[in-house]
Amino acid sequence: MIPSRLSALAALVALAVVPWVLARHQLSLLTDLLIAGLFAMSLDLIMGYTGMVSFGHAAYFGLGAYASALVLLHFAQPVPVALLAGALLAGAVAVPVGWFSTRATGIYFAMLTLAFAQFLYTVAYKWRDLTGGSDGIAGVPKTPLFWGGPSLASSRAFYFLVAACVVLSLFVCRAVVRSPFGRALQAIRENERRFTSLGRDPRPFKLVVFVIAAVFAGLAGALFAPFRGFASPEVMFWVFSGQGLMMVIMGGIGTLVGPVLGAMLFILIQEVLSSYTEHWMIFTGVVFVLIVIFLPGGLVGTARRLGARG
Amino acid sequence: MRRRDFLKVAGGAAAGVSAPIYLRTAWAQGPIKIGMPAALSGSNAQYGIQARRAAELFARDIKAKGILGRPVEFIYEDTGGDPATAVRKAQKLVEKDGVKFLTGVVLSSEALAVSAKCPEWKVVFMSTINGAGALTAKAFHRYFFRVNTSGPMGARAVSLYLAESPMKRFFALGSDYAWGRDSVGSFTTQITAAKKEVVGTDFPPVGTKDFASYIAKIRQSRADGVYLALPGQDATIYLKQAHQFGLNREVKPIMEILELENMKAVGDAMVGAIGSSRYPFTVDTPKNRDFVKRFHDLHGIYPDMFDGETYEGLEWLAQVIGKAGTDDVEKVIDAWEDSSYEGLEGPFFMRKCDHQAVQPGFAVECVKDPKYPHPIPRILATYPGEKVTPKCRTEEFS
Repeated sequence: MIPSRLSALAALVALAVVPWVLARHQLSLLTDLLIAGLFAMSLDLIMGYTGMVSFGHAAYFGLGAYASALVLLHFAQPVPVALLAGALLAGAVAVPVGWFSTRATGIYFAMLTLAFAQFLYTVAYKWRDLTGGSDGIAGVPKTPLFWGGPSLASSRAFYFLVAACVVLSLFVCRAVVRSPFGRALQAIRENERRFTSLGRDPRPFKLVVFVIAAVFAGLAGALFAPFRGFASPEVMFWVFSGQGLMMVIMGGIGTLVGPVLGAMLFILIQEVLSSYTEHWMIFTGVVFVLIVIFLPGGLVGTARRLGARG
Repeated sequence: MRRRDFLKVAGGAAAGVSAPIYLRTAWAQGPIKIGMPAALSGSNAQYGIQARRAAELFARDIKAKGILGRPVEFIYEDTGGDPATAVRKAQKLVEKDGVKFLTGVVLSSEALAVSAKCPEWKVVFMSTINGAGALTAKAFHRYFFRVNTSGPMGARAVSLYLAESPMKRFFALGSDYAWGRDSVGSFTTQITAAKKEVVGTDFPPVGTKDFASYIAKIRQSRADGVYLALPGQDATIYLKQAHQFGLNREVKPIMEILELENMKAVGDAMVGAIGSSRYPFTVDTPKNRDFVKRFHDLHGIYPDMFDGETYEGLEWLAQVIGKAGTDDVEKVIDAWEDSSYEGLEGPFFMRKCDHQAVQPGFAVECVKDPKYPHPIPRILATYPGEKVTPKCRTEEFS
């Protein structure tokens, strides 16, 4: 098996050189894939490492997207300010939602997150003065990196911003799951009762990781708004939360890198097939089922297992 | 070389040898590509399919002569009605396929998102479906053109008709999202200006399956007519239920858009409903009669509103490219501004100030006609373009 450091280095080099290799549309597709990847990775923090399946993760992506869109459109601040606003708003909203939701476990936790997410979706859908209702907010500009700084308008420049954010987030998330805090999360996932019997209260841990995951989902949303130039209620809808779950499962639960790859696979299938047939969803479903049956652990989980065996 | 590439080259070579000299250079330039990121799946698929049907007929009609002697190629992409996917698909069409003209976008949210990107991509966005008034007002830019009747224009045609009708009291029912609320707002303003009364409004959520409580409310309001801005499926369900409750006899249904799709789904229960139509296929012009026949020959059905509107858009675009003598985007825009076109239902004029096509507006009634397998729109009144087009870059009428 190739040492993981080597493959990580190879991936970094690949990310750095692709803008000169890929055609323009491939580069914007890759940017899209990376943003979706960041979203799926943030979901993996709570789903893969803490065993909490959230059905409402899109809400935080959406909050990030709206915050970023409004900051860019109305205050014309540099993009990083918008990213910060998106991540912070998502994190801030996740505090009360997480506080309530983590009181429950399993399916009840999933239902609570879904309920809160649909509530936030409805707010975005109805608050027309602020969010534009179902029409959303269009024409979000790509402002520079900082005042007088480099422009992010070119697809290459924006790609680098997204790639840098994703790589940094990956390192931060890795550090989180490998820290004592992360180990505690995995202990909760494996056996919450035992964790409690050891004299620790799992709830603060769950709440903190829930908020961290929301912050990264918010960051992904905040990147999405200037990249696509708009934000609309669809990015908060439960369908997108469900797609996030599919991305994580396809890529490999509890691997961080896996969900990024899963997100890429998910969108690529859609991108390619929907050019040929409007029944592309059937094929996405079939691929999903095949992966779940034949590649338990997803793409990365299977690759690791094969690597360990060979 | 793959087989397909070989065939292309061989075909090109054959065309080059046999074609007259002026065509040879044209073929060498390759096809004129038109991208259609349309909702072909999901709850709004019927509109995307209408756009595609129109494009298929247009492609067949123009096959022999092409545009500027160049072949025309349509590239369809399914957006599923999701704005994020629509932008991604549009970007793919522009960056990968090199299309200079986008059309067939279905939802207003998709249109606003894709249109906002067009100045950056330097491509023309031709709306043939999108109703949102903002597209030619607040969100207007040089690369956007609207060939179709907008939402406010449709509401205007109905209001003009109602102003002269004996009906006095109206209830307005709009789906609770941008289009429904805008339509009801626009209707209320205009009907009040005509010294009539809106006695109640309500906004059921999109996807409402049970309209009983709304029907009770409408009945209690003692309105003469109920103005409905409900999307396809919701309108179908409402009309069927209102018919069961016998409401349609007491309170006349007035549809923001009266489309064939609804008439087919609802059937006889819809007879008597009135409303505006972007394009009623029953318009009696020689050009339209011919179009309806060609359309029926190809698809085996009668053209719905956006079949007609999209066909007109494509034909006009081809005419404008011909006039510009090039498919260069900037030159096509210049040629399009302040240009005229003879549409299926009458004269069209593309005004320069907001790229809204000035065109006739219609008030129609759903009637039964033994010649057709389903109810059809009968034209009650036709209004000239000047009367139904809003003031420049606004959603208001003088």
